[in-house]
Amino acid sequence: MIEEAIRDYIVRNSRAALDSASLTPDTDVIAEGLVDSLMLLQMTDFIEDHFGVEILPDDLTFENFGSIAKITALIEDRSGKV
Amino acid sequence: MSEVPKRCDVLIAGSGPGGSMAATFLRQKGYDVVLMERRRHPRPNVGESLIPHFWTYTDAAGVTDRLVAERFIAKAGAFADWEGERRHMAFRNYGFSRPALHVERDVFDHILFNHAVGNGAQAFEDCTVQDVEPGETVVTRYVHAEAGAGTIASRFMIDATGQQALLGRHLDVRQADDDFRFVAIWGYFEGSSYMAADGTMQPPENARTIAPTTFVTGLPYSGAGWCWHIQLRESTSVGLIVPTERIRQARSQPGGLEAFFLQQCAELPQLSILLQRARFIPGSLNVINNYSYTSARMTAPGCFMIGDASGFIDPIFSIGVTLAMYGAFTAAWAIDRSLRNAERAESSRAIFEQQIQTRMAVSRALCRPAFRAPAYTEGRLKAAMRLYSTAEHGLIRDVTGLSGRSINFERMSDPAAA
Repeated sequence: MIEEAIRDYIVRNSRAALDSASLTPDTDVIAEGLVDSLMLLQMTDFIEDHFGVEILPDDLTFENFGSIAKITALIEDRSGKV
Repeated sequence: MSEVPKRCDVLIAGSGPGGSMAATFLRQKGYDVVLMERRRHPRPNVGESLIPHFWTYTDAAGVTDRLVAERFIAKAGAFADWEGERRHMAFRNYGFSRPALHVERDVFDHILFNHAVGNGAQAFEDCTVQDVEPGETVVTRYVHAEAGAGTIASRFMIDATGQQALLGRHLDVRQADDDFRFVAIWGYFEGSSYMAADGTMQPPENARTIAPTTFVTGLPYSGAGWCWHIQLRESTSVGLIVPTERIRQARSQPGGLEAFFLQQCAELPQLSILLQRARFIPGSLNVINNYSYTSARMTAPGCFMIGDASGFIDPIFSIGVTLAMYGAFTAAWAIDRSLRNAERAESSRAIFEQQIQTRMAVSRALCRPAFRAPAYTEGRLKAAMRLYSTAEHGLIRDVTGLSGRSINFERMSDPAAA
């Protein structure tokens, strides 16, 4: 569910050219330019509003936002679902 | 003229690209914005070379079409003549579909200002902000040319006062950058030739058909000193970044700074050829002393510093306007997040501080002729570099290489330590 919502958000909002068929949970969305510095902030709003969790200042890293799987893990961690 | 209000959601001091864009972003979110400008648009400004990244922000602000319609000079990339090596880069090799620009900043800044006003920002020109009291309610004192002195209370305030760095000075957090003891001195020429991306020299009338590059060349007597040549529509901006001591000598010589500047233009190898048939526009010489600084803090309660007001580095990579727009976007984001959820005001401010400080630290490290960052900073820089795309890494590597500064990039982009 979370993974699908994040995938959908990236497909709808990315500014880079995106072949959505090839976007997997482990695609490096930062290396590919799908998540840039603006998107990082916009996605923070989306995650907070949509999943009711809070993103903290130290969260905006490659380790948390580098792929759909990583973002999903961050949200699961914050919502205590792990 | 309408009266300056007593309160608003967000007060923005300064209407360069940072201030005007922040005003637009906040208006789009429905906030009540007052924008104060100490001069009147259109007013001259330096920093005419823009990297193509800025379009991302103008798209978000909805002002791209207006900028395209102005038909500024599209530039192909950069051409460097550095310590005997000639190198060039073209943005199109890095996946950019839209051009970098050379813009007359009076026109460019005016378009962004009008766009903010068109979006409902209440703007006051000839209105100088004098002092800011940060806090839960921010109190700003100003002097308006017609209305006189007054105060305005706002929930948030953005300092976009440029090199004036209002808040940085007020809070005493502005730190001169000892690694960049340089003076910027620049002026304008008519009829200059320019360098195209293929390394050919072109006459000024070709600027529409054969895209110019921003030409940079190192100064022979200073490793880090350099010179820029930016082809505009009716003129050419030529500037020197000169060590402070050299300028001190020049001031005491007959003819002063202007004689020194023109002599440099006539002596620098490739520049002098470009300027062979050009005419210096009298009275167009400008100087900024000690322009390089950072700020220990870029926020205070209720307050955010963006653009040059937060810090300024060596302008070698033409990133100033883009950095200001990024600051505008991030400040607007942080203010919106705070106003939607008061409990997140502190963390929003912390995120802004961290993002802008890191961006500034990366830019500064890339500019340095040598790497001297402490271990803590180096770790932070490497983590920050992990947030850039592969294409962006390639661009940064090649651009820093133009002026022999890629050693810092190589060190910071080490993925093993990220």
